Parts: sequence; C-alpha cells; structure tokens
Amino acid sequence: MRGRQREQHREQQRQRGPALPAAVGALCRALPPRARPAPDTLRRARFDRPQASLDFWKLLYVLLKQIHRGRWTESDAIGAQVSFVKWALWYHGYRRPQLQRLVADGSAGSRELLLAFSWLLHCPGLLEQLLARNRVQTGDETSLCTCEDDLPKSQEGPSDAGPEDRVDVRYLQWLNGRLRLQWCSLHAQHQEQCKLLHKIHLFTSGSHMDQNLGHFSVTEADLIRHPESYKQLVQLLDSETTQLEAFLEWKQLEPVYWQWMETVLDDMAEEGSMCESQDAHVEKRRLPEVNSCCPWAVKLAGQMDRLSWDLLALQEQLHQLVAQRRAAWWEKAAGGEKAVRESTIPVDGEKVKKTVGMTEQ
Amino acid sequence: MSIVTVQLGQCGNQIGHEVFSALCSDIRGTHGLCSKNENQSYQDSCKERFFCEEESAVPVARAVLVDMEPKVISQALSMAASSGHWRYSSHSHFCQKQGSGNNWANGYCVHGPRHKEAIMNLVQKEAERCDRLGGFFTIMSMAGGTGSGLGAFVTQCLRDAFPTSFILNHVIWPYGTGEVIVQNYNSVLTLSHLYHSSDALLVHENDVIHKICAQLMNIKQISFRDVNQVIAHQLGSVFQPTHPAGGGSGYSRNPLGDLMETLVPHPEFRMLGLRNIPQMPESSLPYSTFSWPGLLKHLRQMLIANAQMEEGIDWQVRPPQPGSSIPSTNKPLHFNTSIANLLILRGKDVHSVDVGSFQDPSLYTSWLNPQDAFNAWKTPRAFNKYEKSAALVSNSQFLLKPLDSIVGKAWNMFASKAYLHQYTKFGIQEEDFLDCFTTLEQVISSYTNL
Repeated sequence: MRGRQREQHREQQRQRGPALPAAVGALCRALPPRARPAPDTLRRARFDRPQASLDFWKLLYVLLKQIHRGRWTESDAIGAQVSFVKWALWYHGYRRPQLQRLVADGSAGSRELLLAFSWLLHCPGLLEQLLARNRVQTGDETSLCTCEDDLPKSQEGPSDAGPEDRVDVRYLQWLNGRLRLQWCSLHAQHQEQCKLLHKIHLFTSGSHMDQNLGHFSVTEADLIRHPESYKQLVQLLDSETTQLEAFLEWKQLEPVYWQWMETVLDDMAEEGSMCESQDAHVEKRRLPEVNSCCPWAVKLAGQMDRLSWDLLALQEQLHQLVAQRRAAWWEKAAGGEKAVRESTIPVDGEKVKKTVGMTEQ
Repeated sequence: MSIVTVQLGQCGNQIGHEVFSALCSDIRGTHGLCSKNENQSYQDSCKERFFCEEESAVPVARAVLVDMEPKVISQALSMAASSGHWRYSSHSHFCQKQGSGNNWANGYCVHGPRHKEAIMNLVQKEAERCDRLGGFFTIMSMAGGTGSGLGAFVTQCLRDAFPTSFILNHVIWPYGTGEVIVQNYNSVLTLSHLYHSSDALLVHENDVIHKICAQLMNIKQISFRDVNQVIAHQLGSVFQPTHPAGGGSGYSRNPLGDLMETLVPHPEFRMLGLRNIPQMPESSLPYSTFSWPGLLKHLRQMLIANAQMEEGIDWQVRPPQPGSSIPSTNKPLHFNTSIANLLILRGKDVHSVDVGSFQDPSLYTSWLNPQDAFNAWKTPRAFNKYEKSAALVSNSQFLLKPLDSIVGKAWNMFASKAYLHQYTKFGIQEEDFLDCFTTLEQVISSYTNL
C-alpha cells in the first residue's frame, strides 16, 4: 500500500514540474516587500529542516504583526516572536496543538510553521488582507475607531484607594468633565478635517483625468504643492502594482501549491500517527504564558474563560434543579401511593407507580 | 479655530466693538518685541480666530450683533468701518425698529422666540464661514432688561443648535448701586439660565472696572467708553494667541477648549473672574519698568486676598498653614480659595519666569492638586504696548460675596412680591423664580464649601 502511494506521489511531482516553483515564486512576490521569504525557505520547511525555522518564525511574526497593525523591529527577540505568533494563530482559530508545543527558541518546527502559513493563506485570507492594508493612501479616507481596547481590570487609580484614602467625588466629576471637554475638542477637529477635505474636492473638481472621480484626492493635491515627492509616490505605486500582478499569477497557479501541501500533510500523517496515541488526552487549551504582546488575544482568552465558567455554573444549577424536581416528584408519588393503599378502592399500586414513573421521566 | 462672537444688547455691542478694536490695534502694532516670523504667526493666528479675510483687504469681524433698537448697532458698524482697519459684515446684525421696554421677561419669553429663527440664521451663517468652529463668545450685561432676557434665550438656542461647541458667556455685573430697581431680579434670572446652557461665565464687575479707571488710569470723567476699553484690554490679554501649555511651536489652535479644560470641567463651578496686571494709562508706559517677580507677587496676593487691582491689596491675608486638614469654616477670613487658575504671561523674558508661587497647594481646594488645578501659558510676543503683562483667569471664590449679596437682595424683594407682575405678565411665573433661586443657592453653597 505504502509503496504505491509513494509511486503516485512521485508521478504527481513529475507532473507538477515547473509549475510549483512558479507558484511559490508568485506567492513570495505577492507578499509585502519587507516580509518576503526566499522560495527556498518554503522548500526547506517542507522537509522540516531546522535551519528554516528561524526564518519562518520571523516571516509569520512580521506578517501577523502587519495584519494586527502592530510594530516590530529587526531586533525583536526570538522568544517574543515565537510567543506572539502562537497567540496570534490561536486568536485566528488555528488549534493544532503541535504548533503550541514548539520550543520557544525557534530552532525547530519549520514544517509545522509551513502548515500554519498555508492555513493562514486560506482561512483568514492572509494575502488579501495584507494587500488591502498596504495600499497607497489617497488621504481621503476617514476612520471610525471600533476597537474595544478597554483598560485592564487591575488598573491602579491615581491615588491607590484604600478604605481610608477615599477619592473625593468632586475630583471624579472634574476628571469626567475634562474628558467630555476633550471629546468636544476632538469632535471639532473631525469637523474641521471634513470641511477642509470638502474644500479640496470642491476646488479641484473638474481637474481629474478620471471623469468619474472628477476631483483630486489629498495626495494628489499635495503633489501639486510638493512636486518633488512624485518620485516616492511612483515607487510606491510600482511596488503595489508588482505585488498585485504577482497575486494574480499566484491565483492561477494556486492549485499546484495546494497539491504540494497535501503531500506535506501526508508525510506528517505518516510520522504523526505514531506519536498521536500519546496525546490521547489533548488539553482543552494550550497557550503560552500571558504577556503583553497580544492584548486583544489575551482579552479574547479571558472572555472565553469567563464564558466557560458561566456555562459550567449554569450546568451545575440545572443539575441541582433537576435533582430537586425529581426528589419532589418521588415524594408526591410515594404520598399518592400511600393514600391509594389506605383507601377502600382496590387499585393496582404497581400500575400507579409505573405511570408516575413514566410521566416523571 | 475661529470664535464667533455674539454681541447682545446695548452693553454687548459697545463692549464687542471695543474688543475687536483692541485686538486689531494690537496685531497691527510694532510693539511686539519678538521676531518677524513670530509676529507674523501671531497676526495670522489672531486673524483666523476673530476675523474673516475677504477679497477686500480689510478683515471682517466674525460677529453677530443683536439688539432691539438700531442705535447702538449702527454706531458700532460705522465706527468700525471708519477705523479703516477692520469692519463688521453688513449682513450680520439683527435689530428691531423700536425698543421694547426694559423688561427681562419680555426679552426672554416674547422677543426671543419671536426672533429666534432670524438670529440663529445669522449665527449659522457665521459658523459655516469658519473652517473650524472653535466655539461661541457671547457678550451681554446681566442686569439689563430686554438685552439680558434675550441674551439668556439666545444662549439657550446656541446650546440647542450646537450641543458640542464651547460657549463662553461674558457677563457684566451691574453696579451695586445701579439705577434699575429690578436689576437683582434680572441678574438672578440671567445667571441661573446661563448656568444651564453655557460652559463658563466670565464676569466683569462694573464697580471694579470703574475703580481701575479712577485710580489706576487716572481718568477724571469716566465714560462708558473708558470702562469698555479697560474691559476690552483685559479680554484681549486672555484671547490673543498663546502657546499651548505643553510647549509646542505654534499658537494654540483651540483657545476656548483649552481654557474650558483647565478651568471649568466641573459642572457646578463655572464662574470665572479675571485680573490683569499692570494696568496704567498709555502715557505712563514709557516711564515704567516691570519685573516678573514683582508682577507675579502682586498678582498672587490679589488672588489670595480677593483684591481687584494692584493698589490697595491687603497684604495681611495669608494662605492657611499646610499639613493640617482644615475644614472650610476655620480658614482665615477673607482668604480666597481657588479651584483652578490659569496664568497667561506675555512679553519679554517670559520663558524664564518662575510660577512656582502659584502652585502652592494651600491656595487650592483640598480635592484638586496643583498639577491639575494650575496652568500657565507663556507667550513672548508682548500685548498692547505693555512690555510685560500677566492675566489671571481664576475659578475661585472671587464672586462668592457679590453673588450672595445679589441673591440676598433679590430674595428679599421676592419675599415681599415686589414688582413681580412685570414678569408674570410675560410668562415668568413664581415657580420659575424659585427654580432660579435654587440653582444659585446651590452654586453659592458649592463655592462656600471649598
């Protein structure tokens, strides 16, 4: 059986031939400029080479940071990178425990990471999200902050309030008032931005080459004032165009890549079936220790914890309720049976008991 | 960030005109004592705030003039135009053909609603002309008849139409021995209504300004024009461009917002007093020298002792001793407790000034520490020919006694139901009066318990 499968694989590989490197190449070119892996890294990862692990951790780290609008530097420690990637993958719904078990110094697991990378390509649509995030800005956008970044629960107040050190309510009213006034100032600023944007559009209407738009965007209007910055703009647009072309190429060659990934999965299944039995009791949740790199993920984990606690408590309550009801019914049934026995009417007690038992169930 | 000024009634229009004149002459002057670039920024910033540049070279004031009779408005319009340096827009005023009796209730209940649409249209047009509306500044007297009633109504309309804008009401406190017999009623009604609609009330007392004119400015025959010019000078020293408190290179783009945030976040404490130093006749300026430590020392004592000008300060008044928790009843008499203070310094060597004496915690109420309560804005560009000048806008017990006195007198009149028919006739009932008294008693009690 095994032998024939291997034969089939080799046949498929021969058929894939030149298409796979082209697909991987397109994929790499479609990624943002600062996060492009060498195609070789993916090939090495397929064979689980340890040398590729560090590169792959870094790749995933940078890509996920971009998705979540985080900041990173070249010198971020490998431990922090590993931790962030694990949390971010968990947040997006990737639950493979083998990934969470990878060592924190990033020296192994390149094949696992390849798997995770491919999953990201498919499930949250990594490439599409990155392309959308990195578009050249026209300046005409307005943003609505929908983030739910509330403060962590254990926030220290300006004065550590113990029972003796009460905070005067007038001070709290003062702070609340300041907040409101600052909000009013922000509101005025937003209105000003809208008004000025409208002015730009109004004054440049009819000047744009594209008749549908009809007016300049902020970036274009700025170009008129600072013509020397057109070079930078052209570079950015070029880079974006190349990425988009690579993306289209990738989309055409995508099936080849997924076939290749199937072989990776098969390899892992063969090897993994031996270790799987040891992990029969997979823990419900396997996460690295909490740190501040992913507050949004930690918050989600906290909410899920609370939810599961609440559900457990609810289950407890329901059990108790059911037990009480059952006890009450039995009492009633026993009382009824006694009354029937003491009465003169000859009734079949067994039959009654059975009927009561049936209704109660 | 532009401020729309709403001049209400005779008093408001006369003062408003003087304010714009003072601002204009300040920015055109060559007394800046600073670099050309700095001067240019200052001019541009002031012009953006208060004036609108139009095709004609003369800047147009961002103002709406409202009065029941045409006389004062047309005077203001013509005086501005004849100055040649600025003018009012010809479409931004509202007045009626004849006056309408000196009656607060008439102004609030009858004329206000009747002319609301016309007046708010003017305001809306002025507001739309601003790229950024930085807030409204209304000028009116507190104790007048129709002007005050109408002014209170207009402020309410402003609040309804612009719920998130800053509204600063400048009110003129009447002379203690004023001629209008119902001025205390009018004052109580105006103050309580304004307290609900506006963000802050900046008060100038007629008695105080009169004394400044007499003693400091050496004016023999004090006219309303002299009083108004002193008021305009004091307001200008607050509203001209300043650098924001956190440093930063440009002038503040949010003057009213910054002012409100430092002084009136708390909804119960909205009354602001203004002290300015030095104040002297223009002819004496070349012969005087000023030092920052001296100016600040006087200003601080003016704050503590509730003095109204730099002469006749009671130097005996001292802040309470720190370290012991002093209930307010034991505080030294006549000591003026502050909630928040804003110090605005303009002129030469302003960055080296030490304002530590104003950050003394004993000056402030116990529930606010000096980091929150005190702010200083420093600007090297001198104002209005004064080489060094300091203004103090203070949210403190300055107005506690005058307020208490007015409310007391009004209550006595109310208790004997004197002159109430003038108000009930137009729709202000006794319950409304009682509500107003309650509001003001609450304010008095809040300020007393600092």
